Amino acid sequence: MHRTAYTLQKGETRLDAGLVGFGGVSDFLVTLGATGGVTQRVELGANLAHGAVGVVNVTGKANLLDRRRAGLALSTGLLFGTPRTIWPLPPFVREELGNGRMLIWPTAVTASFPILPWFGVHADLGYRHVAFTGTFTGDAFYSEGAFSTRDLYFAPSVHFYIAERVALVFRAHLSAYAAFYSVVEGEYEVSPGVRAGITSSEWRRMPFSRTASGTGLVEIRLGRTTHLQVGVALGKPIPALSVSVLPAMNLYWRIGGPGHRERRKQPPVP
Amino acid sequence: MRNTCSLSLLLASLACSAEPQPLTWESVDIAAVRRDLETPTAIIDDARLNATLASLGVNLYFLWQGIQVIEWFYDAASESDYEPQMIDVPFNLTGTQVYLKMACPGVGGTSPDPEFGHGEVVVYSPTLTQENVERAAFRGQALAVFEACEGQYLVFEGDARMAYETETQSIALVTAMQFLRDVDGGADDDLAVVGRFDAPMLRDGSVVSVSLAQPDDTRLTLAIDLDDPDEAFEIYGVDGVVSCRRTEDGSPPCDMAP
Repeated sequence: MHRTAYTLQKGETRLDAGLVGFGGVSDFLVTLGATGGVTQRVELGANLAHGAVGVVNVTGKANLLDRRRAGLALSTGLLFGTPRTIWPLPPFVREELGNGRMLIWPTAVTASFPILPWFGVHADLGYRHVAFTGTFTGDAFYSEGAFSTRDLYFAPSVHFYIAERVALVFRAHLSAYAAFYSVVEGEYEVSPGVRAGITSSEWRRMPFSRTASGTGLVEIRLGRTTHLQVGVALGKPIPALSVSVLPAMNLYWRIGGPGHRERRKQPPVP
Repeated sequence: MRNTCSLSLLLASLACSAEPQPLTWESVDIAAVRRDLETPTAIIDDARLNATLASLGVNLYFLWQGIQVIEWFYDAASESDYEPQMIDVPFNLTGTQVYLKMACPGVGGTSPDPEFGHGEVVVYSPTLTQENVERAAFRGQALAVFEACEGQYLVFEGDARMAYETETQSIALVTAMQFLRDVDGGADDDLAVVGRFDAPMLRDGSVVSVSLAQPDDTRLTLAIDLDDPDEAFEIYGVDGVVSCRRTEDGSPPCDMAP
């Protein structure tokens, strides 16, 4: 959960190991993340746990402005998977659902305001798109569908830094516009030469109560490079699912880079 | 499927496009159709009757095919064990329709072609709004679309707007059809339009009535009793009625005296 306007420095690496996630994409369910600062203002990352099972999950962030009292960044990512390439699935599932597709595309503009040494405010203006498609066929039926959600949101957060080793983060996800979109066509053979079918194309605005969520997080720096995050998301952190409580835990290490030594004295900015 | 490529669907659905529009059509007013059929405005004279019968000679097969479609739809509606109170639509759908697709038999065929190689007739429901779903067991609208439907003698194209009421066992259709035929004896695949059928029809019980427009904008009404084993039909004008009988050669003899 590194939703600030700041990026890793060139040559710096962040390694993540987490479970469940905070409703984000890069940390969805299981995280073995590797993120590197490729330039002084650009970082690229990947969730290797997802990659190991055949799902592409990459992220990128570029810092556009880095001033003493303000920062601005543009971030994006892509999670893409198809059952055909998810090798842990049973063979018959990969065969039956093999042409399905899942795509999650988040993007956000993030502003950071480190107001006081012990207090900072950050805010995302973001868009997250989730889409699934698939075709299902049988002896007497055929169906094809696509489902997607989209969420244009504002996500302010406040960070409190305590005793140089602890950070408390409170974040709200407030949707300005969220919608569910589905396209479905299916046919069933009633008798030879007679088929019953359905064709559907539906847009649904998703009410604020179905998309709003809040996250509380405690981050502790355990050593020079090791950080522990424990938190919980409440509300609807994953709009497509009826999950109202989503606990999460994450360990990460920041190693390398020119700021490696100086960070020992800095608060653990998530 | 509008877009058969799953990946492009994924990407296409990224766009904030306008709300998709379902297939819509002008609804049919059964009462208005019945009123028109019960009040023919044409006078039955020999010339008009001969012209009407000559037209029917070509089009009668379509008429019986249309009646068959009505029968299918009527049976599907009346035999449904639909329970309105059992339907729980989670929200009011705005772009969802169901349909029944029937294969046409093709030349020489007597039953639907399982391979759909000779065109089809598709009967669409209106959008499944909560209101439409709740009243579907009693009354509703539908649209039958004939897509290059090959019958025994003709190819049918066009559509028929439909309305039904199970309480009165009534189905009304307003058609905008044309039928085509290979006029050069099969030398090539070109088909010529040999007739049009833009007429309201009504089934009340076993009686099917058709309004036949005349060149002077007046109308005759043709009525067929489906239970009549002799396949007789009657033509009503403002001044009387004549009785006719369907024949194998498509030239129905009638009692020409109104």
